[in-house]
Parts: sequence; structure tokens; C-alpha cells
Amino acid sequence: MAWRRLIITLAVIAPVLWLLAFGFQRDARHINSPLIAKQAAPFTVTLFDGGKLSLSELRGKAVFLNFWSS
Amino acid sequence: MTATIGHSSILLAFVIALAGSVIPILVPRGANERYVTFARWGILGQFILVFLAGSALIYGLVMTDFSIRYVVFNTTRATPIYYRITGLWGALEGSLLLWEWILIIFSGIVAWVYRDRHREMMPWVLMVFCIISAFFLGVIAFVSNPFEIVSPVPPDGRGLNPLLEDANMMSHPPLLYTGFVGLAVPYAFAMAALIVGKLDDAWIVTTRRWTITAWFFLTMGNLVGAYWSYHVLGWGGYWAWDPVENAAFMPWLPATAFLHSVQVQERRGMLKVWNLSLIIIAFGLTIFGTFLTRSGILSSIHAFSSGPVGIVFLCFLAFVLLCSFGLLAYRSEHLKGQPELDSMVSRESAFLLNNIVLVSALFTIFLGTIFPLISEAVAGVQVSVGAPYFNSVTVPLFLLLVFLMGVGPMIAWRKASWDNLKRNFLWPAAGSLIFALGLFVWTVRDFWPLLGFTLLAFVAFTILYDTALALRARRRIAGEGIVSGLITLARRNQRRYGGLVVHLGVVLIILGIAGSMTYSREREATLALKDHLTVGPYLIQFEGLKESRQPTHNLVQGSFRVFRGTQDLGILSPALKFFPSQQSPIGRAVYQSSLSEDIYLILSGFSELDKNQATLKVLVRPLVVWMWVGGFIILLGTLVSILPFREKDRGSKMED
Repeated sequence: MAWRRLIITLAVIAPVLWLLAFGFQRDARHINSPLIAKQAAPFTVTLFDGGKLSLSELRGKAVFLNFWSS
Repeated sequence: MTATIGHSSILLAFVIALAGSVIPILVPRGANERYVTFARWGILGQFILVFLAGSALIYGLVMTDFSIRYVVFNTTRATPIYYRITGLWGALEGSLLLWEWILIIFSGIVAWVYRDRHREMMPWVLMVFCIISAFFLGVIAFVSNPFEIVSPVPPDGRGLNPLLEDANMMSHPPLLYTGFVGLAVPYAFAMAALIVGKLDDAWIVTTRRWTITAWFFLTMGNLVGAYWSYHVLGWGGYWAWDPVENAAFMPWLPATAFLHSVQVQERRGMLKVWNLSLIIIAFGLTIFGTFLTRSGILSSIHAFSSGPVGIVFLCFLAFVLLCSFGLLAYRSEHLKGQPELDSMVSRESAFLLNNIVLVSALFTIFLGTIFPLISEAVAGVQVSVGAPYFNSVTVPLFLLLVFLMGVGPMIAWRKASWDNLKRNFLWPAAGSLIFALGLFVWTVRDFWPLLGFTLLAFVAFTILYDTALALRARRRIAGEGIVSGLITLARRNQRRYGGLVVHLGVVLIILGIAGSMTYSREREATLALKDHLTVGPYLIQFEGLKESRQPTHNLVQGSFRVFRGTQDLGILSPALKFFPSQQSPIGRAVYQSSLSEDIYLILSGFSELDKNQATLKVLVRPLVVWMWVGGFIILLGTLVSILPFREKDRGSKMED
């Protein structure tokens, strides 16, 4: 009787522990972006001097966008 | 020098704790008496050594001894003295030391208080404490050492995370840890009862006050955390269902269930296995919480650096769960033969239902918290669930719990008669229906808020009505007035009236949550000088920006004049703080509270060129203040139920 209960207990606890251990094999902060290998959305921004800049003007160049804090 | 004293104290304490964990298994059955003496000295030794180590770390922090790595990362020369001290729990290594420190204080008190009682169980109780203590000391000594030396000694430290520089930093972590550690006391007694095979309710009666105390600290730790979030983090919320918040909240659920279900065991001898399981789960969840915070397996704003600590905690969690439940399964034969429910309409079934609801809430929150792991293990994609899941699943459960909170304390044990039901619930139910009608006629038309407020009113009415009846009886019997009658009632039955006061506190907290969840309003706008924004009855006018240099950061303050209708509420100045060590600015939200609602201002941006524009977010949050009031009521209720001011000691069994 006690053995049966012991096995049932183990059957409940073991998968939970396994799942938590599984967590170590992955990087929680790594989330695949759905945008990779897709075309960038067109945009236009206002510059500090009042001028405009569109993404389309930069066609052919590598563009680095930095979303900064302010 | 400081580091050497600290680290060698920890090592020595670790050796003592290990000895204390192993010896009771080795000594022959009859030698218990000698072991208890040894274990008591062992606990005292650990107590002194951990005290020494903790003091050494605080000394290092206060004296800014930058030869210790931990000090470098948690203070600077400019840090005020009180934040240097709180640096003790500013990061992983120190907070483990604090945990161990609280644990050994609790163990010490237990060893001392029960020095002449429970001769059979005490060796095992102390052994369980030694095992837990040995684990923490081992982690502190070998895995995450707060006394690690750094060389060359840097000229200044890096300092605490600026968000931790707040008065709540002094209370929130120690309160929460005290709650976590407090659960170790009933857990240790439960394990001792299982080992000895003494499975009556002795362990429950003995640890009753300890459990209430632990529950109180756990409640306060969570509530102060919520207040901190509301007060400092500047998003206008107090709870985000972040994995680590859930980790702090989850032990509260089985602990609350346990507080109620042990009464059923004391009264009726039922639910023995259930109670043992609940306390194992509650204690296991405190370890799980630390594992979750420290392992980095889930992404969270609270997650600390990952490292080997996570794996060590997981191993300990596995050890605790397997040993405890294994022992429970082994003893299950002795736990049989319990009486059955006499009727579904009785206090024990109300408590049973309350337990089922609490455990269901625990299950859903646990599931939601580890869902990213499940989805990745099963489907290979990471999916996380957020506030919408948690709210939609837990709100109905918690409302059911509120209803039971009204029924449970008033309904009769065994089998409630029709008279009992009529006497206790007729008027409160009628009162709350009238209240609901009033709310409906006023403005509250949505189903969930209406149901929530009505149930809260029902609980409050049952408590007030029951107390009024008891007071009337006191007047008839002894001619006592309201105040002296209340004092007599509370002294005669501390546990009941303390519990009812705590229930009132919980009602107020849920009132605050319900109000702010359902009737909040918010708006965000960019304002030029003298522009204004209206939210509900409020009008907020932008009066200008001000920049100033503070000792640790640059401060940009916006001035906003707030009107409610025609009434001028004065200037509120939300700000952004720019710390040289931080990439993004840290907001300082400001709010003004009233009993009916808070107005909460967040400066989310400003024009850097001419400083004549500001982006402002305004939140109106109804009834939030009642959450904090509820906290104080819970404090009061806890004091009523545990302080030893009964008229005379009537033995350990109190009547209900």
C-alpha cells in the first residue's frame, strides 16, 4: 500500500522537477523575432533640424536603428 | 579581516549544522535525550556564528570595505548609512545570508521555547532545522559567497540598483523572508510528527501561533511589495503577475488553506494527510520561489544573475519534496480512519471548499508561471501568459473565496440547522442585496464589479452582525458597553475575533483591488506650457520643468497644477531621474490619495531642447488606499489572535 502511494507521489513530483531542470537548457531571454528575414516596414522620421528622412532614401545601405531611452 | 571572520564563521556553522543533520539518524533510539542537548548547543553555536557573519557583512558595508566584492557591488561612498545596511539584502549573496540568519533565529526560539516539551518530537524538529540551515550555509560558503575578496581594491563601489533606494527596501525583503522562513516551523514539526509517527494534532496545536505569525509576515511582505511597486516603480500598478511576484504569492495560498484546514483537524480529526501535504507544499514553494528568482529559467524583471545557485536550489527542492512526500506515503497507513463529513452544509465543508478554491488558485497560478517552460518542452515554442490569463482565471476563484469568507466563520460545525442559517445569514444577506440594489441604481452596472462589491459587503455584514449579536448578549449578561464588550469577546476567544478582524482587513484589500481593477481611468498627452489635460473630474495644467543636480543623479521635475472640479489640489511634481550608471532614466511618479480615489501622475518624457513640453500620463485609480488600510487592519487582527492576553490559561484547546 505504502509503495503504491510512494510511486504515485513520485509520478507527480518527478515531471515537475524534470520540467524545472529542463529550464536550464534554454535561455529565457531568447525569443525568436517574427520579423527576421521579412522586409522592413517603411517609415519617415523628423530630424532635429526639421528635415525628413525616409527609410526608402537609404535603399542599398545597411541601416542600424537604435531605440534609445528618452 | 572582516571577510575572513565572516567566511570562517559560516564554514564552522556549516560543519555544526551538518553534524546536527546526521547525528539523530546515527544515534540509537534511547539516546534522544543526549542528542537534544547536543542539538540545542548546536543551534546556539550556529546562532552565534551566523550572527557574527551577518554582523561582519553589515560592518563591511557600513565601513565601505571595498576589499569585499559584495560591498563593491552594493554600496558607494555616497550611499547613506541606512541603505548601506539594507545592502545586506540588496543582492543574492547577502539575501541568502539574511535568510539563514532569520532561519537560525527562528530555530533558536523554537529550541528555547520547547526545551522542556515534546521530548519525542524535538530531536527531529531540530534535525529538520539543521538540514535546512546546513543547505543555506553550504550555499553561502561554497556557491554564492558574500565574503569573496576583490583585488586590487577599487576606490569606490558601484552601489545599489537605484530602484532599491527606497524606504520600503528596508521592510519588504525582510518581511517576505520572515514569512518564508516562518513556514519552516510548522513544516519542521510536521516532519517530526511523521518521523516519530505521532500523528495526532499535537504538532498543529503547537505550531498554531507560528503559522499565524508566518502567514502575517507573508501577507505583509506581499502587500508592502505591492505598495513599493505602486509607490516607486511608476507605472501606477501594484501587481503584474510577474513570475517572481507569483513566487512570493504562491506560498501564501497553501499557507492560508492550512490555517483554515487545521481547524477542521483539531475539531473533527479530519484532513490529516491533507494538512501535512499543504504544509509540505507551502514550504516547498518557498524554496521554489528562491529557485525561480535565482535560476534565471524564466524571464522576469526581478530575476537576478543566473549561476550554479539555481541548480543547487533545484536539488534541494527535489530533496525536500521527495523526502517529505515519501515519508507521508510511508506513514499513510497510520493516517486512516478519519470521520467523514456529516453534512455539506457545515463549517467543515465550507473550510474544505475554501481549501479547494485556494489550491485551485495555486494550481492555476503555478501553471501560468511555468507555462513558458511547458510550452517549450512540449511544443518547442516559448509562449508566456500574462495578466489577462491570471485575472480571468483567478477573479472568479477569489470571489468564491470572498463568499466563503462570509459563510465559514458563522456556519455551525457538523450540520448547520435551518435556525443557525437563518440566525446568521438572513439579515446580512438581505442587507447585501439592498446594498447591491443601491449600487446598481447609483452607477455600478457591470456584472463582475457588482458581484464583487456585493460579496464584500456580505462578508462585512456577517462579521458586524455576528459581533453585534454577541455584544448584545454581553450587555444582557454582564451589562457591558460596546468597548468593554468587545474587549471581553476578543479576550475570551482571541482566535475567532482576531480571525474576523483579519477577514475585515482582507475585505478592504480586495475592495481596493476590485476598485482599481474595474474603474481606473488613464490618459496620456504631450502638453505645452500652460496646456491642460482632463481625466474624469480632474484637470491637470502643465506649469514648467525644472532640472537639478542631486548627489547621485540628475533630476528633471515637471510641475503640474491639479484641479478637481473647481477645487485646487496644488502642484504635483513627477520627475525623471538620470543616474550615470543606468542606461534609461528612472521615473518618480507622484500621487495624491483620497479615500475614494488616487490621482497618479507619471512624467514619461519632455523636450530636451527648450524644456517647454512634457509628456504626462495621468491615472485615476479608485479605492487603492483601502489596500493599505486593510494591511493595518490585518496587523491588528493578527495581534488580537496571537498576543498572550487571555484572561486565564484554559489549556491549549481554545473553544470556538
